[in-house]
Amino acid sequence: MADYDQSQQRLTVKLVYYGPALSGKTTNLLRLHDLLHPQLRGELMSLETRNDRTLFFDLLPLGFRTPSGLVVRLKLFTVPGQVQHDSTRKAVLSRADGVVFVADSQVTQRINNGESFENLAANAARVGLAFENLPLVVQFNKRDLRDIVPESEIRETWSETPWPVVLACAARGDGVRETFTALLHHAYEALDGEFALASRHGAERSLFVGAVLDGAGGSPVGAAPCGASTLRVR
Amino acid sequence: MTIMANPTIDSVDRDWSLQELLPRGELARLRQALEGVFNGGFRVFSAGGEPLLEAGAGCHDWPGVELGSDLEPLGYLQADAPAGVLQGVAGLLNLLLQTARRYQTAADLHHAAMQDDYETLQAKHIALQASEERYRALAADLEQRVCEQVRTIDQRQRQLYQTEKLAAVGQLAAGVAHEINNPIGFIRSNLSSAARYLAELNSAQAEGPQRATEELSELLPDFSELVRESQDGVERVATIVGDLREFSRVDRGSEEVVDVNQLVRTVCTMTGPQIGEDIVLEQDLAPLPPLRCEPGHLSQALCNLVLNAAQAVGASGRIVVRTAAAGNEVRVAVADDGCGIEGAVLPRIFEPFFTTREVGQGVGLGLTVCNDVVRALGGRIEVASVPGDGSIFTLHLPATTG
Repeated sequence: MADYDQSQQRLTVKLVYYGPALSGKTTNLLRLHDLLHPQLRGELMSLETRNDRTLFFDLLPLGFRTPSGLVVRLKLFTVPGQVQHDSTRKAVLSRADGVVFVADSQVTQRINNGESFENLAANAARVGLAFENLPLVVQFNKRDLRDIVPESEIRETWSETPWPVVLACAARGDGVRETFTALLHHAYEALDGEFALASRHGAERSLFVGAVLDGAGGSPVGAAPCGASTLRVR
Repeated sequence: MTIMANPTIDSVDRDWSLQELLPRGELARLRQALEGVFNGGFRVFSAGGEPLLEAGAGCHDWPGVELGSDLEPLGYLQADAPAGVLQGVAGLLNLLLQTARRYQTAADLHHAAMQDDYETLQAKHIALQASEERYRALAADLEQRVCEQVRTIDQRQRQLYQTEKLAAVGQLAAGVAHEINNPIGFIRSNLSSAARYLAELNSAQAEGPQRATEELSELLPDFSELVRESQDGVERVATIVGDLREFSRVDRGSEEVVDVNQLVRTVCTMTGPQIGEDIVLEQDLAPLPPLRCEPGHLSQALCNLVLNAAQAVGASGRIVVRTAAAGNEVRVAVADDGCGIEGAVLPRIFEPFFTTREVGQGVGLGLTVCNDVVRALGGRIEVASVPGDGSIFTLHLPATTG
């Protein structure tokens, strides 16, 4: 659930990368961090164990300012994929405005994908999110590996569902931007419905998506701080 | 739409202020460190303009840098120092802030996850308690139902015992009737002979004393014999009636000190007529100590054993009832040379309603009753059987002491 602070003209949106262990959620954020304009993003904060597994979450903050002056901040989280970290996943998923489900394309990971997806649905219900209304994009990652589920099969399986499917190889950066773009389009609908982004803040869908990805139409958040008017910032 | 059960979960999303990330206890050390770098004075203040650390005066002209590595600055550092030094120190401070932020976020999330796990456990605990409660109730209910069932079965069994007993009494009555009928037959015949003799005497007397004396001396031996025979018969009837009375004390339900040999004799008398003519029923009785028991019950048990033996031997055979005293024990053994009991069947013979006989030949309570009676007396039954050769049932009964 996005957080709108009217006095500060600030909208904070939470997007979560969910999925089984080692499916490439953190890699998605790393690549996205590299893809985006430095002025539009903050530093990627990782909380990981020594063996590079996400212990709590990763956080990548993004943001832009709309023509009306509204600061839109997007916080991108990953969850720990290991089954035993369910409470952490629940806490991170809480109040999410959109979810990317990162599945592992390898044939051997089928069951893990299914279980994790069911876990997503169950946890969404537990934290009070209506799963059927939740903006969701499914990414099939690791397309560069051998012994993967063929694309035709993926398309057929997911064609019945309302969720867009993106094929990716996050390690090479393929499909990362497409996945995120698809989620932005999805999430925009819900946000516009609630906060009148287009009518009140002059942020049409194309501007919104473009501003997040390329800074087009928006401006960087970096603002003059109050009480520091005499500061010469270098 | 959002349910926030636990406010600490919010902390995953929250923004940290510079004040929160610079721990109060470390501020003094931080100031010391910064003083060492910036001889001319410095100033650290939050994004909101609130000063946190200050040294020196005239800060308004000092150059400044942003602190924090997020989109928006967390605060600012101003110092009377060259830009390179300022940037370097800001970089170090940012490292400090980032580490503090990671630590605090992780700590909060850990707390939230633990809290959530704890609440889940508690919910499970409560659910388990509820289910345990249900099982308890069910168990109590089951116990009550079992008790009711046991009562019902008990009642049915008692009814069946009664039926069985009545059947035994019926059988007995038939045998006894036959036994009594016999003496009554010849007593009746003797009495009619006596009446005829009296009539003959009467008519002889009418012919004169001489004739009467002749007639009397002729009839007298026969008459005496006739009376003696009738007395014998009456005696037999009396014995049977006595035994019957003994046997009918089944329901009197009072304990007496009895001579088991006497009970054996009675039982043999009573069952004798019921068993086949070609079956020899022998008694081998040794002197016994007195035994306190309900005689009716013990009689019934012995009777059942004898009848059982009779059924085992079939048309002809031999049954021996043997008594013996051994230590503080009275032993009564009923041995037969009948068909014996198959090994597979042996463990079950005392079970209620277990019978190897055909329908109509008893419901299978004979040995059960027998076993119950013996156990009520604190004794036990031993069975030795060889299929085809016969069986021996031995009752071990504790003798009355004192």
